[in-house]
Amino acid sequence: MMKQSAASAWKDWLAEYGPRLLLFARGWSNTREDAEDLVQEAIIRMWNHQADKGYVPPDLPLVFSTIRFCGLNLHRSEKRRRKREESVIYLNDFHDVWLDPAMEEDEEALILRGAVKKLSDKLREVVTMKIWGGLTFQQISEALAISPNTAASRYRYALEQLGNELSRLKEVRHG
Amino acid sequence: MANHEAVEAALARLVPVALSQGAQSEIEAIIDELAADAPRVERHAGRIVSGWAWMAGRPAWWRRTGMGIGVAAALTGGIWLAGNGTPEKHRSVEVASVDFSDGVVLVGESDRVSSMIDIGWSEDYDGAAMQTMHLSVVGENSFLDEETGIVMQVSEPREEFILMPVSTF
Repeated sequence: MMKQSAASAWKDWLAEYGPRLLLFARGWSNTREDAEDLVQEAIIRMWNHQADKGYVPPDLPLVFSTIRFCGLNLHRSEKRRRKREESVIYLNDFHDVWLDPAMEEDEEALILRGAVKKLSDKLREVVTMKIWGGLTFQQISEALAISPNTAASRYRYALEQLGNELSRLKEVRHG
Repeated sequence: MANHEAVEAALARLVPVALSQGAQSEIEAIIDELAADAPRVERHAGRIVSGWAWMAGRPAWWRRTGMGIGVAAALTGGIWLAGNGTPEKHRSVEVASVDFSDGVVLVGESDRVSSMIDIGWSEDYDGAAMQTMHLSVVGENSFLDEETGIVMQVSEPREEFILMPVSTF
């Protein structure tokens, strides 16, 4: 692939998949800015990784996996920084949106968005990969180094929790 | 309790937020920079051809040398993310004269660890505690130009992270 056409292909690829990558990266960071940095770091790593393949844009499962690796590194460095600055209290900055704010008019969507944020990391990453990444359980299992059955179980368990949360909050709001 | 299909349908109506304009522009600029720096390497029916056009017009031995460097760069690029071996101060592999192109022969390759830093614990995909080592490695390939007898050494520095399971606490 010619260098310029490779760059063009990667930009098209970024335009299509960037939001999904950002959503996944958001689960591994405390702020939107950190999540965008994770996406950027993963893309640089992917570019080098794809050199042997003629710089074609990478497969989505591999990018998810790389973001996760970068997220682990970020998490580790954050922990070390917190140890150094024990007097500072860090709060999660969850004011930025995870999913499209245009859906805020829709009560169900709003509740679900909050419920997705509250899922445990392990459950949320499977839901993100399945719903917004469009990956199969086989691909998810490869990206997360777990069995396909485990991926499917986590997904079902997450849907169960989301469904329960949806029902509970609707009952609270409507009596 | 809502059934799974209903939850899935509701989730599918939520749309991930786009990257901010600043982040999008920054990443696109990085892609342009990477594309400008990358040597063009193309695969044709099992052989690797260097795309460095500036080789044209150079002497034959010079072009072959460039070809060898291109092959070395492609090889080292291919193992860039393969940092999962055990830490070794120096890993040397003698190669039985692998011939990559006409007149240029790979006669030796080695990996030299220039620095090794323990950067503490991290978690693997399953949340298991792992000891993480950061290695700065220099891969060195030696090529012999059979026509001139010149031996060239191509060095390729890279960074590696090695995760080792922590079994005692």
